[in-house]
Amino acid sequence: MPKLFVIDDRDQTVEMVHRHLPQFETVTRCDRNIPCQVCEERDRGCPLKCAHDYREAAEALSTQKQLPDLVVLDLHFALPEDRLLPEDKTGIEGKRGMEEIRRTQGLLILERLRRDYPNLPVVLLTTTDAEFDRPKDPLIYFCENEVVDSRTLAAEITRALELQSAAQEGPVFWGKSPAMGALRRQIAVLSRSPLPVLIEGETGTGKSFLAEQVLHPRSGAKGPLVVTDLSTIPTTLLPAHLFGARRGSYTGSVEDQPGVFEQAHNGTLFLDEIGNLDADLQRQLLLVLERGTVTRLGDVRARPAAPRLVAATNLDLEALVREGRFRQDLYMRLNPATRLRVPALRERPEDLPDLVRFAFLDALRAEQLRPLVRAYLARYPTPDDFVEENDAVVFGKPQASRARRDAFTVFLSKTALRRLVAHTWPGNHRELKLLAFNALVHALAQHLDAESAPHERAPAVLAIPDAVIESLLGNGETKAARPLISAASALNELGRRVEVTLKSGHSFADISADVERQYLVALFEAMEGDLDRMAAELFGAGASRRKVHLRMNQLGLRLRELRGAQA
Amino acid sequence: MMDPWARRLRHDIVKRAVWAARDLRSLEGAPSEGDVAALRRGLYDLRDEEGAAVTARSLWQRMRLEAPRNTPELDRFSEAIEEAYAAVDSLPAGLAAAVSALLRIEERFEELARSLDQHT
Repeated sequence: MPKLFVIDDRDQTVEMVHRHLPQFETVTRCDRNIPCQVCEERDRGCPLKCAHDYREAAEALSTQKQLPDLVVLDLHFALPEDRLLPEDKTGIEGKRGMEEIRRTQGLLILERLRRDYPNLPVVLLTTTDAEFDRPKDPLIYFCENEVVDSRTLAAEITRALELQSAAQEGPVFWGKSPAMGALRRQIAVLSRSPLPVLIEGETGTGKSFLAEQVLHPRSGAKGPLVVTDLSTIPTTLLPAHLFGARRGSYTGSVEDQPGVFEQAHNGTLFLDEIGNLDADLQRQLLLVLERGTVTRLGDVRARPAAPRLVAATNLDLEALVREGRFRQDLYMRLNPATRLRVPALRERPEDLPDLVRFAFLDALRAEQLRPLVRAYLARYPTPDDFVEENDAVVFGKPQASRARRDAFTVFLSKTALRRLVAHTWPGNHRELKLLAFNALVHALAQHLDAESAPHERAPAVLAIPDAVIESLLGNGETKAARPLISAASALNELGRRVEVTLKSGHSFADISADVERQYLVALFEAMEGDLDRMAAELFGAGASRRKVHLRMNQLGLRLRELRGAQA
Repeated sequence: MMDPWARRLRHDIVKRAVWAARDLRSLEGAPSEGDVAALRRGLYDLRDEEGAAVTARSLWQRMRLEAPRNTPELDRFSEAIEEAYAAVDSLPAGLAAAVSALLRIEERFEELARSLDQHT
């Protein structure tokens, strides 16, 4: 959850953040280890919710173990003279001079923040008519609304956080390949257009990254970004999710619910996996796009719903149109003439070393890996000046001389790197991220289990064995020992095979379910209907038979019928 | 360019009074206790130029004396403040009326700022 730090002479901004923006956590000046939202002091007029002047801000920041993700800073501070910057007020003349200092106090605070925390991004709450030289700093964002509301503030904060994240990941994501260069140039033009954008690309290539962190932040839209992955929502709930529903319009609808179109009005709506929509929803979607309004299920009132649409798919929509599975008129609405195609990782091998490095660093800092990393650091004591931000990934032999004393250094051999570059990466970035995470878990666990005495190792130097990379890429011995494979071997011994018949009109989900069904039937026969053994084979020792039973039910496999067939 | 006095008025009163009302514009049904408290705070829990606790009414009375010139829009702004008080005081009944009354402060402020600009 992104952490904000509000510096404002009034508590209103932070109050509104607490009331309406639960997606953000806030830094407070109290020492209670609970979020403000649940603190009983909050409604008693707690004065510690935000910093009201520079002194309070500096004090709060100096006590934070980790800096906030973003500072929200007001421009105008109506405070007594002694609480205003600069400390030395000689030269400030009369009431008018002090008024000017109050009116631009935020800028003086900003100057100090930049000096003491140069990497801390700041959203400055100002107005379009405020007269001052806007600092040219990529870490400063301006929320220029005469009178703000929480929705606008949330949009500005989100946009700043997204730009910030894109700025960190961006150069690595874009890389140096010509295909990405062309895509970047295309986006530079399209992001200024209000027309829909269609993004095509294999799974895991970063389509959502483009929509959320590049297209929306650069669009200048006033409304929020709303993201929906159509492949994750049950078909029956999709109409209500997209278009909203009135209370009681369907079973389980207990309150009025705005759909994503309404929520994203004047902002950006990112519909991922648009190729998954059925014919009826395609028709309704087209209507909403044409009219710019939406009517919730069970309601008669049309409400404004005119977001900029960004749609993504890993399917070939043009082919679906030819096959009659996607409406041509809707396809044309998606502005296919300017569609963006995100290249797969295997098409940009020159970028792989940087992407691998980034994936490992990202995984190393992941919250889920923290306990293992901490255990490792505790076993191999680290120097006092250890700083996580300095962590590095080095390609070559593990050498203590190349490792940083003040950080974690991960070594990958040149052979492992060559193997990673040669891999086809069907899951693209997603697969690479998982590989990096898995490799670190394996390597950390191996070192923690090793018998070697701590003094024999340099602190925080971690070599990823080539065998780990090899096994994770699918050709190693480790994989052959996995339970699923041994079950398959048992089936092979019985001469059973899972067969897939190619048919047009089948979705990937249908095909997967079909394969899974055949596999379970074959396993059921091989294990002579013993669900406990099946559970152990499929999910590991001690797994419950209920899991297998449940999955079989979901796939329409009835135990009674299978047992009947066996008899 | 907005008059400095008007800018202060926007910062000290308008922004504070209107924020919660803007958030509640599209709320349907009964307001929660928190909603009501937020609307009330916009009028009753303000700070003056030096950070001292003050209400919108008393702050406006003080600021009005410092207005750069006398225009009929000052009276209209006063009326909007009083109407907002009347509506907010009758909460939790009449949420929609309270929200519109508070939003009217912003409209009146814009008229006032425009009239000051025209005379500059």
